[in-house]
Amino acid sequence: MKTTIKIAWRNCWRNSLRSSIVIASIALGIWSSIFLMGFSTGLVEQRIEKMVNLEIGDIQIHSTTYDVQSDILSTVQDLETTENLLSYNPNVASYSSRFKTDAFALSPHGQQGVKLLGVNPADEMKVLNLAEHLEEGTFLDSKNTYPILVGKKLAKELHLKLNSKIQLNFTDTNANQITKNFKVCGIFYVGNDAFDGFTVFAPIKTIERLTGEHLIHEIIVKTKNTDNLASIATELQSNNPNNLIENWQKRYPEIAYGVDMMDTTMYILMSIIIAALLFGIVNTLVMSILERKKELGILMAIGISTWKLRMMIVFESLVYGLVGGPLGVFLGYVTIQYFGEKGLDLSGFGEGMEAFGYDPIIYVQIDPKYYLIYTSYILLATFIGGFYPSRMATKLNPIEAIRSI
Amino acid sequence: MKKVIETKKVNKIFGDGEIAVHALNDVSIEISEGEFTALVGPSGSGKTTLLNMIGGLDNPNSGNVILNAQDIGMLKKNEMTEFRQKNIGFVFQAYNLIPVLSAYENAEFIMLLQGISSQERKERVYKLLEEVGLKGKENNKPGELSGGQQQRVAVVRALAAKPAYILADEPTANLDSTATNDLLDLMYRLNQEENMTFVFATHDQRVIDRAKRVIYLDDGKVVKDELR
Ligand SMILES: Nc1ncnc2c1ncn2[C@@H]1O[C@H](COP(=O)(O)OP(=O)(O)OP(=O)(O)O)[C@@H](O)[C@H]1O
Ligand SMILES: [Mg+2]
Repeated sequence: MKTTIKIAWRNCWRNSLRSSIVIASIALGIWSSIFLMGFSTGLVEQRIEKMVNLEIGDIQIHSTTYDVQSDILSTVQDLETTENLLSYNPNVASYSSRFKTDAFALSPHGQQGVKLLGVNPADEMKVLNLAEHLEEGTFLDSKNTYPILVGKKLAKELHLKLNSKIQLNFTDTNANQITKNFKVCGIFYVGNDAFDGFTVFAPIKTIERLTGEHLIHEIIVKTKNTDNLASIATELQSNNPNNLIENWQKRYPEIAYGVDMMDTTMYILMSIIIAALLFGIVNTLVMSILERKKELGILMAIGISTWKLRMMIVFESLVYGLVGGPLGVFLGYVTIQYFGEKGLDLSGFGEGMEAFGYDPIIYVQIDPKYYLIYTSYILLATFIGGFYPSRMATKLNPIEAIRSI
Repeated sequence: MKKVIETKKVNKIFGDGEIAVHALNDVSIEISEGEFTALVGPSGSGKTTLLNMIGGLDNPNSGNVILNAQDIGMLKKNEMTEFRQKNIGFVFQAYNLIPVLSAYENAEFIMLLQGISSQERKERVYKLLEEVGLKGKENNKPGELSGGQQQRVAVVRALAAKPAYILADEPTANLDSTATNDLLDLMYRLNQEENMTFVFATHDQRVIDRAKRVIYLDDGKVVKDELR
């Protein structure tokens, strides 16, 4: 066995250029798929993190009718009990109860339908980090009686600056039109047009002064541990039949689906790359066998067993994987570490991406288990890659092989 | 004297129909332990074919081949391989050695396959390499040895495994006359001192001159069998 491995190892380095090319292609293949994986994971995770931390929170609570009929009447049921449940749940870090309705915003320069959110700034800041994403002004911390926080995109469209006036129109529970002028106290920028262009925040106290009621349409929740959001949501839901309590994955399945899709895509990509590598490996082995037919014939004549001969060829194949695989994984690891730390700046071609809420700087990341998965895949692939050539070698007729030149 | 090789009415035909070549035609020979035999004959006369037959590398179309008291017609491919490993030493015309292994590693190769202990391998290889004048070359790769030196390593490899006999197909074809003489001296001495049986297929007059028995082949038939 030792000798078989020794011969195989040395055989690999007989044509060191050829072997280096195979090994380099393996390393490159692994490296690029690790990098791609890190890149898309980073992209998607950042997008999700941003959404969860700036826009939606970990868990959302609405009345069961909210999705059917999202008007001002669809308020969270059993509000006090629900809020108490949240306060005493050990998994809940904080929550923010919000007034949420469709409104119409007007300025001298234009008009726009928006989501009006009435929030308690202190509560809201404990759930979302939006306060850290202000371009100007404050998070509703204003002496003005009717302050409003608008997104950058909306500000641009309606030509709003700090302290600009903006008129909001919405309906109260009695179908009365409420019209009020607000003063811009801050402009936020998340980088997602769908949010920046259509969301405005006002203090819930202000809203209550206008409606005369304490209306809560949505509670967003921040948990202490995001790993088991689903079970936390289920637990909350079980005590709260009149409301719909959903973790973000459930409420926004298209985003969660995107993560799954990405994983699948990565596996497919990895399989394609490995299949391509497999062809290269088989090709190289076949060439090297044809080149040393005579030598293999002599080995067979002097009595090497079919099994040992096969092992020898399979080992040769494995050497490629054993050298190329870890090399690729190492390069991948270094690259991921580097761009995970420094970030990969795509602002040059990131215009379109930004509009969809993706960061122009991607901090690549990868689940470390993939290093192991990639290594075992390539070892498996080289192992399999050795099979056909090894069979070919054992099919040689020693007499003919020795006669050949 | 113990018979180590026996062929009974062996026929070998390559191809069929019009292009069939009757490479061996009713060849019956017997070779006993300790013989030093040359198979000679013109090109195409069937020397290599016969050698392959008694080397257990090829099967006859008809007739029996009995090697070291074993009728090899009974053996399966794997058993045949093992039989060769245990009983037969080979020295081919050229490129006998595994290029990636040193002289020492090549020499011990068959013993490794046989599962002989490293201590024993070491003793046999060092002793034999010294005997054939390759002391100090143990770590050289075949590429760093002359043709004659490579052939001597091949002889050591065959011999170290203690086969029943050694077959050599044109072992001197690629050697100059000094190397040829050295190799012949070596094999002759091993034959004399260790009673090792050698069978050569050869054109080389220098080899024929040293042989103790010469079997002449022509057109696949034994035409003369001469003991000297
Ligand atoms: N695999 C084969 N297929 C077809 N014909 C073959 C094959 N091997 C040998 N022959 C034929 O059998 C005959 C004997 O060949 P063999 O190689 O035994 O001759 P030889 O005496 O060794 O010749 P040389 O001195 O040239 O080595 C030749 O006519 C050869 O062409
Ligand atoms: Mg011949």
